[in-house]
Amino acid sequence: MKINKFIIALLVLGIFFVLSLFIGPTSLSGFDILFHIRLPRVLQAVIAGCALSVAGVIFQGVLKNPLCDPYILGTSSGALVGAVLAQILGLSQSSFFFYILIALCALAATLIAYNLAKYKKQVSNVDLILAGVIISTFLSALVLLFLSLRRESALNIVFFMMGGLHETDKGLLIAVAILVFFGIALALSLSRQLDIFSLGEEKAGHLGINTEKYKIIYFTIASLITACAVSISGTIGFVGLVVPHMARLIVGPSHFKLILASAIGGSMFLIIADAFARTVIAPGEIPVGVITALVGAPFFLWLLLRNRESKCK
Amino acid sequence: MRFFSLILSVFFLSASFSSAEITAKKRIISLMPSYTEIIYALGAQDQLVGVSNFCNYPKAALEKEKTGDYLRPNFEKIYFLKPDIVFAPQWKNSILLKNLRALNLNVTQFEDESEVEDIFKTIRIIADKTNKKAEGKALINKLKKRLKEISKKTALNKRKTKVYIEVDAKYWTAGDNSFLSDVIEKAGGENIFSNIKRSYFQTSWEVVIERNPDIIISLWGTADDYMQKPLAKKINAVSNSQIISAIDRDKIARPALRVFDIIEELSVKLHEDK
Repeated sequence: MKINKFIIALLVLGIFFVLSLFIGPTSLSGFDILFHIRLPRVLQAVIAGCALSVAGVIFQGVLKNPLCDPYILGTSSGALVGAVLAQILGLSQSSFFFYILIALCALAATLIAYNLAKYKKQVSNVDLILAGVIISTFLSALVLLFLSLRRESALNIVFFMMGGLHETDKGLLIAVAILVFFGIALALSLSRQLDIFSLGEEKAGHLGINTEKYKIIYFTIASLITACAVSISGTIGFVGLVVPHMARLIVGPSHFKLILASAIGGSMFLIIADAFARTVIAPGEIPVGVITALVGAPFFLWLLLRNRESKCK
Repeated sequence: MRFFSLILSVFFLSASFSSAEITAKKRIISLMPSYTEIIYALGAQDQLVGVSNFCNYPKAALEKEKTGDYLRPNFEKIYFLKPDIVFAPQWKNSILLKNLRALNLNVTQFEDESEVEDIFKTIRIIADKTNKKAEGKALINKLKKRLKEISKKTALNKRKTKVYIEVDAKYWTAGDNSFLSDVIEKAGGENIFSNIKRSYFQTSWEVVIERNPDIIISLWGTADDYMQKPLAKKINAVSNSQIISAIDRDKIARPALRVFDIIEELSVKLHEDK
């Protein structure tokens, strides 16, 4: 029964995927346009959407904090510093290394935050969130400093901050897709332990889980797939925060289902949002992050209210 | 004691000299690179006491006092320089103008230039304020003549060259209301987004392919950046390798004098192969 639901969800995702190929700012059609221009973009939306949502599930699950998102550990500010470094080094936005640098910096910032929070081989959740906030603030200050000193390159960074799905290197897209796929598969295979985590770390420890070890594994997976998403799409907010909650309202708290549902939901959400972003004011474009927040917030509220009513009955 | 009074008197003398000089000439601060460029062209640079951080042309302007920039003028420095006039940009939706006037400064505000002819207005106002009316008139006439000659030449072309101008990475381009769109038109080109009544906006590669420009002008990238894009060969500009990427952003984007050189260069480049 439950499996059937996921098959249906996958089918719906497939339909959205195909339909969105035919939605674009121009009336151009033909295999070339669909295959070379829109397909990579829709794939990007799928990869970034499921990576961010699954990372959100993991962070919210491990930290037991519903306000966590994939950028909680300073990942996005790390990525911004990467973009700034690329500017200083004179790397073009069309070069492969630009994106590698961004992914590396995002990962580095996350690891630094994690290690800052580590004390006597223990990581407390409050410390971790604090460390993330501190790293984010510090790195954002660095970025702002650069922006105020080098105003002429400010715009490029601002555009990167706004996030968006544009053509990237095909090799990069494939590499990122593989990494995200394995990350999600690993997260799925470890979903039972994540369920136990939600009982609280102490209880999980009593049940024989090496909490510190699993924490490191989860955070590595989550930061890695976040860094992947950031390197192809810039920093797109809201997806990683809200999609896990939507999924939880629909499929319940089991992390196996939650991860699957979030991956499918996140992809679908970003596909639709990007279809809007590239067509609403065509030939102009709206940053996709604007759409995710504008559409996502009211939808999330609606879902929340509906759920509250059904609970009252 | 005598020594001191000597020094004092020298000091006062020099002070009175310099103050006499000040009253003879105006003290002007220019907060935009384009105004600075025009002030130099009119030969009024000796009245210029302060410039913006971005005023890098002509080179001599770099030695003037810096007074912050467009969005963040340094009020203290401006006040300290005791200007008679401050040349300021339009500053849409900003309290900067109010704040400057609250310091009892005499501010001359210019409207944002949205077409090349607006530069003449700027020159006229600056010439007025710096007592260089004759020089201003001569300069405007010279520039007008240049524009006319260019338009005579471009009128001979059978059709207008379609131009896509990319201002920044990720397809930021210029709509009809932008200054750059008019620069393209003056050079005898047709902006592929001339039907979009906006200034600067973000578009997508797909739209560029559909509108198929004959020439791509990039203010940020290199020709390679465009060759590597998907389906680039479908665009005339790429398949004929008509990608212009070596234009100095300051020259083309500042509504001052060097943009006329750019218009002239472009008017030749846009019609080289026809």
